[in-house]
Amino acid sequence: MEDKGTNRIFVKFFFVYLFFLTMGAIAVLGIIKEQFLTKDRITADDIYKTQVLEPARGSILSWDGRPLSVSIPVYELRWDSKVVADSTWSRGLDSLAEGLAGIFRNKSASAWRKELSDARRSGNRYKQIGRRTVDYGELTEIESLPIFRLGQFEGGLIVIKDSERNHPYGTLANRTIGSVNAVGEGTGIEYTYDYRLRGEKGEQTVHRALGGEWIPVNGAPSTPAVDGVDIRTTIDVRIQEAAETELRNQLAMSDVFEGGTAVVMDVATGAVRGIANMYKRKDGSFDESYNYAISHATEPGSTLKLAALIAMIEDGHITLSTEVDGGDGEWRYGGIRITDTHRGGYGKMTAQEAFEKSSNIAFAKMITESYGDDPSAYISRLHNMKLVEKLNLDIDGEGYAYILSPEDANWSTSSLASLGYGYALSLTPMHILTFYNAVANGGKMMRPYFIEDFERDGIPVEKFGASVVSGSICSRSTLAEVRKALRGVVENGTAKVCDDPRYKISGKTGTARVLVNGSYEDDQGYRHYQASFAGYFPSDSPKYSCIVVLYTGKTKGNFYGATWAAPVFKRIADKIYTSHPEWNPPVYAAGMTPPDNPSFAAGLAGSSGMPVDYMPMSSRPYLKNRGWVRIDGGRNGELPVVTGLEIEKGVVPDVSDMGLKDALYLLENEGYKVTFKGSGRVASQTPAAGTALGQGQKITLILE
Amino acid sequence: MKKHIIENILGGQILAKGSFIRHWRFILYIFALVILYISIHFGIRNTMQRMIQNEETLRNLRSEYMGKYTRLLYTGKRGEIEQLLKDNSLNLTDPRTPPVRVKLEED
Repeated sequence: MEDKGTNRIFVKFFFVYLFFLTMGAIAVLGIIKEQFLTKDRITADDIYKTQVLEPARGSILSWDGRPLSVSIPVYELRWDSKVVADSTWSRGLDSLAEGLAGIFRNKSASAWRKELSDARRSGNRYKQIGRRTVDYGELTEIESLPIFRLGQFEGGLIVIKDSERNHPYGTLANRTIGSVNAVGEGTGIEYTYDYRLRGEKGEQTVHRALGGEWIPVNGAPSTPAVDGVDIRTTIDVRIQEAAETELRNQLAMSDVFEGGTAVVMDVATGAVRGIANMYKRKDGSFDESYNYAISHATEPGSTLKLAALIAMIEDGHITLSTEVDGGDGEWRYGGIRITDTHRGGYGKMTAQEAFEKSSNIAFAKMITESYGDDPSAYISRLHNMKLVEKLNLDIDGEGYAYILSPEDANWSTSSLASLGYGYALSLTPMHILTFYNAVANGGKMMRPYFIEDFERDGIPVEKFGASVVSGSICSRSTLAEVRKALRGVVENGTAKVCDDPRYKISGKTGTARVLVNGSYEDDQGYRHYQASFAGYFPSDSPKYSCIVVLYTGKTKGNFYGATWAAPVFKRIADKIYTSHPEWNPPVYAAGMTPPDNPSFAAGLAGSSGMPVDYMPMSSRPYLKNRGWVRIDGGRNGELPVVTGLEIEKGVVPDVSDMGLKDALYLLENEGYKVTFKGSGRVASQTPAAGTALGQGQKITLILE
Repeated sequence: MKKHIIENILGGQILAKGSFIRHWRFILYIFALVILYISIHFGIRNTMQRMIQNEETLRNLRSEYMGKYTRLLYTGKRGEIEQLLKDNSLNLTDPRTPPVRVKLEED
């Protein structure tokens, strides 16, 4: 009985065993077939693979951190019209068309309805939805629309993800931002700093999980991707927009213009806050395909009279009141005919008047009288003022600046005279602006720059910023004279259009004929002009310098800097003036006291007691390692004067205008006992400064 | 003899006698460890999948933010605002004076 039962169990288990054995054999045979007999066999690569980790490309930012160029994912939308069921189609078409019209905003709902119906009728399985890519926000809206919300296999919506460089401000600063193509060619910051923006690729080993997702293999070696750095530029969006808008508007006023440029620079640092370049296309519109500002070196014309004026005053040849005869408007020198625009000539005038009226004859006469015996002295002076210095800009494409010199083969007797009013040399607008900026900046020439720093998550990892080309291009007295002359151009001269009761502008107009095929005028009398205005504002305490240059095609008309370039400068300056709160002191709420802002101050250079930042000065003096100093902030735009204080043992030092902290520190270190009354800065002291006084004696200070 | 061995294995009698009975606690312990190992493995895999999904969500949210932010920046351009004012016939003109900061409390 027991044996029978055992046999039955045995038989049952035998069949189960046989079943599993057969299944196992089938499985093993299947594996052998997949591995050795079929071509598309599963390999380790189907389960494991090395995945390349793409880094995020860095953004290009404005000086205050707003994005000018960012990489964002975009989505191309396609539609397979054949997968949608008839009932779904008839129920959802109207709502879908309404939704697409609301999102794309380029055609009506009925137009969408017709377009989708046509696609379905023709059996289109890859119909493009919208003529542009959409961002993620738009995609989520589109994916929630009727029909499309059913997904790819029932609704037919096919989403193709891509990445695109987005410019939030449209074409603003397009040339400066630039671009780079798939093979690494390009322009602007995108191209120059591509090696920092693109980051470094990483890689990791991943394996396919049961759900089909690829997940990293635990413990396998991996190299993380390093995202590209963000580049913070010097561009101020408001100033950039003002420069572009006003330049474009002016160029649109005449068909003769071929292009133009406008650059705005921060006086103290040389940071380029706005740079617009407009180049005329074949269809008559303007785009930023050529960087006139940094690349286009030409003869500048009368804007260079500023350099001539500085040189002649600095070398002691003239003063602003030196008399010069402009004659009847025509003067021949060295075989060339020099003319002034004023009919009948300007007659006798001072050097300042000659500058204000921009008399070519007066400047040719003054320069030849000053340097006729030694033209090289003038050339050296221009070089010393770093006028043609290579600027080593931080974006590619800097043009070559050049001055004709007596050693050159094509130097002639007339060359010196031509140099006096801006010919026989070649400068880019950026070179000219850098020079004017130096005049505005108390003689200190700053290198123009476009890049503030490289950042990661808003934290600077590499700083660039301001650098000095020349500590001083001329003496302070010369500087004060030429600044007066530049202001005179706006008050009394060729740039009266820039005069404004609200704030003062200083600058110089320039009109130059352009050399084309070796001639300034062709056989039919056609000429090319370059109209320019360079200057700074506000005159008393310059904050911004700016240059505007407009280039014409061939014309028989006259295109003057005063009538074409100066108004653009004025409108840009107006927009900057009315949009920045820095021109006026803040208004303090009731109960608050404004900070101490004296015109005079004294103390230990660099100490917190020195209110240098609050002093109303036209420029900030350099105080490092100066010890005890007295600062006269200057009046009406004069430059501040810094005097070192002499401290002598046994003699009471002068502590007037010092804060209490500095005065106590100085006097007590000299061994005196100090008492004081009042608050503020030292108004008087007893005994007076310079009195011989032994250590331990008492000094009383009155503070106001 | 051979038949008995097969019977013992297939019939499960092997589990009811000999060393299996003596070490049943240890076998249970090994079994629990195996279960734990499998659970942890699946837990880790689920966490990694969630991480990948969250990273994707984060990327999408960042994309959505950037898309909206860039559209807002473009709309905030002075030129765009001037155009909007014009389109809506609002008689607002460019300011003639700069803005002034009002200080309410000490820095």
